[in-house]
Amino acid sequence: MPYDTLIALIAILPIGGFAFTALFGRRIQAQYGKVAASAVPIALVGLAWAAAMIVAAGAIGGAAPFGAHGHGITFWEWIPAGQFSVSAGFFVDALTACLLIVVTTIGLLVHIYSVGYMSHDGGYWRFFAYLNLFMFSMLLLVLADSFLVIFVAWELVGLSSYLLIGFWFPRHSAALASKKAFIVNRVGDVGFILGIMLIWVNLHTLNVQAVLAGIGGLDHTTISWIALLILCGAVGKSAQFPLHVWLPDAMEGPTPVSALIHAATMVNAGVYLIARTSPIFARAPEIMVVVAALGTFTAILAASIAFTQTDIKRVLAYSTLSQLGYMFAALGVGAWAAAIFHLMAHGFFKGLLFLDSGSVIHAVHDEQDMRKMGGLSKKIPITYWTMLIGSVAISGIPPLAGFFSKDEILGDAFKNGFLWVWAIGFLVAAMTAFYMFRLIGLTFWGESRVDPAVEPTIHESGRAMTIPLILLAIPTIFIGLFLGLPFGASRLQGWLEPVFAPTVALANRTEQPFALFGIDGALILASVTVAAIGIVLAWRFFGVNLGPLRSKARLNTVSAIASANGATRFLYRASLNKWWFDELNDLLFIRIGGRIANGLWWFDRNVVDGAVNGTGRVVSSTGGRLRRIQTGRVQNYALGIAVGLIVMAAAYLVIAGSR
Amino acid sequence: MSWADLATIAPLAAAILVAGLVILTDIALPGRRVPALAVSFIGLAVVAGLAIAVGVHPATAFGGAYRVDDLTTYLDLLFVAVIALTLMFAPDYLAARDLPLPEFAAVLIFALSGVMLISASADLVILFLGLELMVLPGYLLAGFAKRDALSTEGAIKYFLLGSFSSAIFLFGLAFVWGLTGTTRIDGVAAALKAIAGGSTPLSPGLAMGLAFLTTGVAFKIAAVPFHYWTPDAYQGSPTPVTGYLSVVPKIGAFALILRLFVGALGPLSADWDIIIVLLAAATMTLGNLVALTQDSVKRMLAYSSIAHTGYMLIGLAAWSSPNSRIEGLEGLLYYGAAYAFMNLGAFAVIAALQRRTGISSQLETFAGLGRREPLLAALMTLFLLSLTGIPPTAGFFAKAYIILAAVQAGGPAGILAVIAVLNAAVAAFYYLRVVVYMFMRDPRGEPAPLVVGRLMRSGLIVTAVLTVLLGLVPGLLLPIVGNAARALTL
Repeated sequence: MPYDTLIALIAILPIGGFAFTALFGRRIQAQYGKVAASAVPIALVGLAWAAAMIVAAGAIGGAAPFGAHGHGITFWEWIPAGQFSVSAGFFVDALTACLLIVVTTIGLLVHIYSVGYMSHDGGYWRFFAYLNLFMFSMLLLVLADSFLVIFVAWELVGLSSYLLIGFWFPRHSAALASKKAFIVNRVGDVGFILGIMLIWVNLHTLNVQAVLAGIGGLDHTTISWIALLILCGAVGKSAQFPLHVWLPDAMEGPTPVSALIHAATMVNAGVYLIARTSPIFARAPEIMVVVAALGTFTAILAASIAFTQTDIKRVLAYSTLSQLGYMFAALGVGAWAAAIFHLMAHGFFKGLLFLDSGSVIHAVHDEQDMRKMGGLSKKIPITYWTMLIGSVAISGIPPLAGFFSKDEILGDAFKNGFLWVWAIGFLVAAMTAFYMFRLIGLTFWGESRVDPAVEPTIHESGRAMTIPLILLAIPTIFIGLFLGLPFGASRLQGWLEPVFAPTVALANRTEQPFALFGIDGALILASVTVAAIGIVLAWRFFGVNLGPLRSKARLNTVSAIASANGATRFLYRASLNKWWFDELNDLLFIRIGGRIANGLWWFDRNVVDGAVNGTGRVVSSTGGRLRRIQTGRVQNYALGIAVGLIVMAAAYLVIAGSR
Repeated sequence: MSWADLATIAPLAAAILVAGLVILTDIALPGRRVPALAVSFIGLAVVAGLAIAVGVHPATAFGGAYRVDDLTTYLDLLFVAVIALTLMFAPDYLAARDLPLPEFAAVLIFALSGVMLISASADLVILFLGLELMVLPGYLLAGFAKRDALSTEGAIKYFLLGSFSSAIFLFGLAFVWGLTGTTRIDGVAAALKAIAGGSTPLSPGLAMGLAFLTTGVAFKIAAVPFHYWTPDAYQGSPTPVTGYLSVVPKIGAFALILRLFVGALGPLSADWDIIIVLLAAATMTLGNLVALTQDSVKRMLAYSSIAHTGYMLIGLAAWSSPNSRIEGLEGLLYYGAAYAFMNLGAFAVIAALQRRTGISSQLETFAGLGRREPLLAALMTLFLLSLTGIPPTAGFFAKAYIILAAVQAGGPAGILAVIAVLNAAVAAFYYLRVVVYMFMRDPRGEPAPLVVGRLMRSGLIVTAVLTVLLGLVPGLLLPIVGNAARALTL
């Protein structure tokens, strides 16, 4: 099959699955059972995965028609409106290929996992319909070659995310969380659409490649504004400070959704967008510093919150924020390839960790509080070992995935002179190792704190769930070795070189994969050491139970810290309360903003109508209800019109006079 | 009068004739619904056919007082479609309340003749005649549920305030006539060009005229701060009438604005554009913010229709900048069509729900609709998404064109573009709240299943298809809209 057909199929298959499942899913589920209802959506995503793999291999290998710089296809002219013309088309290059690999692989595994995870849920078919809709939206976002189509897909992923977070909508907190995600994202989207408008006004095209080619002709201020507005959108979708508040709440969604959308794919959209538009950012160095600062700050903020959270999924959510912060930091220092590397590695290991957490939650009967777990390692061994692998990977211990990607980011930050980014990133690496092993310790090691009623029924999840875990553990172990080696000229670097080389030159940054010796060697040694320190500290606090290595948890030390005085206690409470961001937003937008809207309504009802009603009541105490309301109100309405007329006349006279 | 004149006004004459025929049918077969409906639909098809036939060759009649151009044809066809759809939505609702359908149809088609006259007028007097012919049936329709106090109340208010504003408007016309010495639209434009072209400032008399005219039309399109009548009139009217009132008189008044402000007062656009910008900004913002707090969906849609007036005004503001003359009008005309179908559709769904009497339009009514009436819920979702402006629906493109035109215009209109985008974000909240109710709330009690009549269902599906088509393949309508816009600017 020609590549063009395959590329089109990658998007068409999942939307077909959505249409099919939305129309017939309920009937199939009622007649033939749940597994039958999910057969079509899974099979179609599987086919999309196969198509994506062939396309990705072609694009990375530089086969015709992709070549080194990618291949665009135009399907039809979507909006023909005079000057304003938008074509519906796709564009595939090595960067697209990397995203395709992550999205379709994890998407497929999450679909399979959901067969087990959602098997007790009545809305089973609906879940698969939504998942397919999400897959379509995300793939459209990655493939689209026009900013407008990207924006459409951007909204569609937001919509599917909304639907899936609120999947268990009878639960009030889920309904609230979905609304929060939607509204917070809207804030970023306003910026993004303004940026798109600015692009159109200046360049009269929305085709991404044409824009990137023409952006050099604009003046510096315009470019900076465009970059800043695009950043707004990216910050919303990728949940960076200050729009990070929606992601932890999004954990109200079913766990497969958290794994797919809120860890491995959709939240990466912002990173992808900035990487895709890197020629714009490279020309706006000030904005790149903003990107780096936001990313670094989010990384350390989220890591500090993850220290004390007790909900297993929330720890992972904050960890996701923190890792996305790393990616933004990488984008900001000009380490584009490293950001994409971390995106891919993180997609796999965080997807794995979330699916593991789902398996844990399943085992202890929908309990998410880690204080009510402990000692699970023997009872659910596959979950335990795969989760341990994921944690080692995210902690940056060689030779797993996180080690390569994280150290490449830190190394590039160091070499590009962003010492502060490096220093904070270095600290966050230690924090990451600590909170991840805190999670492992509380969940799997030490004494069991599980509800005694649940205790005897704990069992490993079914095969539909464990097989995706094992399949994800494999790339978690090897993807770093595969993409990050050989030292000095890594494979991923080679793939992405044609995409980013001009930009790297433009931004005047160096981006080399790290070598084994010299400054790189020292940096590697340092970051592995802090990660190890983080792990050992977590062991000290939360115990260890790894083969012959055993030590007891000292949870009372933790509570001692919590009840200590002074700065320690403040930091502990700050972490526990997520630095009070939700309270701040509540004050700003719900209380104050709500007052403003209510005030306007009050104005219309009371000042306009209320005065009217009041007058009417006085005027016609003799008249019936009809007459009272009508004569009273109408006179006053008419008076309002008359006053408006006078104001209008005055305005025109002023205009007439000023000419 | 000559045969050529008669040929040119054939569509208008046909509309009046059809209305008369419907009344005759009712006299001959009293109380029978099907014959009246059949006459109406066949008649409307004939009117549409005549409009297309006449529209092929732009012409003037009656010594230049009446003109058929591409804009006339576009608007005529749009109005015929809207009237036909209203006639498809109304019968079930009216039958459930023992209201006479033939009268309803006749009055509706008389209103059609009014808007057709507006869209074809080349003279200020004809313009006013059309306006009155359009709004008078509106008063009747608003009070159509005679025994319902709310309906009568709304109708009387609408009538009194409407007459008041018509008088203001007429007064403005008198000013313009007095100062230019002609009532012919192109004559007025030529006379004003002489004034605006010179360096003489706007005379106070002309400024007053502009003020009266602006106030008059601002009332008719329900622009803030002349919008007071809308929520009451909309809520009181029978629901299919509300749908009609929110579409036909509004777009008819926009047709009037196009003929008057663009056609006749165009040379003074430097004077009136800032007023339009302010009206648009206030209308969008207040309409949306107040809609946020409404619990009744009908009232919410009333305020939202005010907000949509604001969006459409942006097109006019964009026209007044030489950078975007055609684009602004194209945006406005496209928005008109998109708004007509999506808004009519949304009201039709409410009307369908109220087929059983005693059902309110409170948000609660919509709880669990997704499970009870999947088709209605899905259609309502489509219309609401379109009203929000989410692609790929008609509402999205309409907004996109208008906003693009405003951006291209720059200046104050450019600021409107930003306000419009912010407003669209606010609007998403209250539109989607209905969707949330439909799909995520459980109904209180277990309401009996609804029967959606065949006519109603086909009307809804036509509206839905149009809403999607205008969003997915805007190329279908754009050339037509472009010709209409150029007809006005030439």
